[in-house]
Amino acid sequence: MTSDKKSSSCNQSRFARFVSLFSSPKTAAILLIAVAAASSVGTVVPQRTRETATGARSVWDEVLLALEFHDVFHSSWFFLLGALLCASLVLCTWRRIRVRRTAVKRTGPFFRRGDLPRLGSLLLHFGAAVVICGFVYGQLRGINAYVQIPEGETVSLAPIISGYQLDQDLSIRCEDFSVEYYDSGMPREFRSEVAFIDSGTVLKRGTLLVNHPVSFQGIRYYQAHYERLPRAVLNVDDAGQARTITARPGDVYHAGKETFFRVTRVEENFMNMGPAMKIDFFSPAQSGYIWVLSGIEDIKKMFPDLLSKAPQFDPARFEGFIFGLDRIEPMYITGISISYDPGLPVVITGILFFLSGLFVVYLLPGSRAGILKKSQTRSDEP
Amino acid sequence: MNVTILNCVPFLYLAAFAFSVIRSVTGAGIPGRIRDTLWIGGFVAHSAGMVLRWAESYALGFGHAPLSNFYESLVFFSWAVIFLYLVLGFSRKNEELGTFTILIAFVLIAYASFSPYIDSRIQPLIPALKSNWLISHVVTCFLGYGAFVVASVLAAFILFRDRGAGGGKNASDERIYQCIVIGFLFFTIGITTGSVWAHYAWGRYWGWDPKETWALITWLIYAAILHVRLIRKNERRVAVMTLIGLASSLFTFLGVNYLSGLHSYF
Repeated sequence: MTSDKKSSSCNQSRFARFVSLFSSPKTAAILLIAVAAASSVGTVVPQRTRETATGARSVWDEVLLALEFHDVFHSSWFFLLGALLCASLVLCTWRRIRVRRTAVKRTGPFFRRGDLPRLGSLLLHFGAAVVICGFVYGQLRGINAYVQIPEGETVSLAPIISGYQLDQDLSIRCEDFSVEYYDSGMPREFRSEVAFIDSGTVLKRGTLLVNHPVSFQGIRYYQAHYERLPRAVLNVDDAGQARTITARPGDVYHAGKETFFRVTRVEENFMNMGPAMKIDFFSPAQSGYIWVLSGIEDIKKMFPDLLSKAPQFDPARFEGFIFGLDRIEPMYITGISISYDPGLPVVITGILFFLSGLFVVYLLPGSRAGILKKSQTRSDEP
Repeated sequence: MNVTILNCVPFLYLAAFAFSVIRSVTGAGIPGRIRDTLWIGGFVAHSAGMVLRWAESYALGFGHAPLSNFYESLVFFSWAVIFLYLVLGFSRKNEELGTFTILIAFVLIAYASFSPYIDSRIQPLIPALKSNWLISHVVTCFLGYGAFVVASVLAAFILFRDRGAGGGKNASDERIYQCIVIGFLFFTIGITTGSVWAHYAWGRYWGWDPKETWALITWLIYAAILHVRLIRKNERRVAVMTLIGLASSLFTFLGVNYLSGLHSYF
């Protein structure tokens, strides 16, 4: 019994010693520097996912890969460092509360004048631990995705948000996209008019602007990027049968069982000859390509022997068809970031704790740091 | 017009530095008074130049605070260094601190004004920078940098000038600490406002972008300094770490441009 008690008290003191060592300013400084050093590795070694890191690799690449240097900020050892820092912060908070409780037992009221800086320090360290926890939670449970939607088209959100909400049929449509420019040609502003659609019903419409996201069902949508995606309006004369097609690069049109053509490029100004599009054609008898120029008649007048020298400009090159480019419509494709972060409220709470603690510790008159009033003594307690 | 005024400022700071050196060597009173007139005049012109630039950007039709490109950030950095010296150092009449602080402010604004690679024209804002968070984020970050610069000048004194000297060390250490705390407070707010902005602009408050990561590294170094100082009075170690912190700050400001990232407009 006695020996039990003795060993338990010995254990306890060993535990207490561990706590005080692990939550000491020295450990804190070492851990802070370690996280700083680890982070700097992540900015020097190119960061990429494991998939893109495969392929031809040297021994050096293998070493970096084994150490997870290609993705430092999601590596197990970086997570471990963060966990150690967080544990140190929690223990530090816990120790302060214990010290405080003992002091309160001895001397009375929990809070006295002059205790504020000490409570501020407690709040600050606890807040930092909360921020780390909230960040990790957000990383593990959040969404960070990116979709590209051509103007006027609809993209399903189901593969992105599945598992996060019940609305599994949700899709997003870009109803309109517009860019404004400064006189210098620099973009001034770009915006997407979007609609959130569930099984054909529009649930919400909104305008996405850079710096002005739209929130829908807890998930936030951001205007991130855009690209020009010009669309060609072309006339196809298929053995006397005329039709008008609106096409984007990649679109394929079938004219028969084994006869089809594909639009491969749409250029607003091709080699200073004006609007043009490239069509690849395939049939059992013939395959090749045509550059269809909207100004072909004028160009033929300037260079009468153009088609014999450069048959790729002949609109009737593909047997039985005559292609004509009516016009090119300047269309856009909008890039939208999708984000959901359940850790955000936790992080905000932590930051508020941290900042208020920081201000109490350093800026209150008479505080330990003595920024506003020169301090004469320094407390031994970290 | 604003660029003309701002181009004169480096000459005033350089002259102030020269008279400061003369004053240190001779100990005479008149060079000291000339120095004070020069650098305070320089600071007034510097401030006026930035205000004028702000007003002129409105006249051009795309008004924004003069904090939006590399030229403007260097000019503001230089301003912040002098401003923090005014707040933290000048009241204590530490003349050598002033000499070196003015030299650093001179280098920053002279680089902005005379480097052929830096465009001093007022440019309109790209969509990503059009935010109310621009001013609070940039101002707090650079006030933080400014305080770290003043702290580093003091740290350099401890390491290189006061070597072996006995007296006055304690006061110097205390003042480094004050500078670091002020810088740390501003820099913490700078990172926080930056995170809020990133949340609205990029869809995440933290994304390990090189500039974000280096800001965190800088912040961690100063956090470590604040802890090291608690262990025991070891002012040389604190001084060395303060200089490392400065290197990290400068890398956060400048070096990150060589690593690709979202902050590439600075």
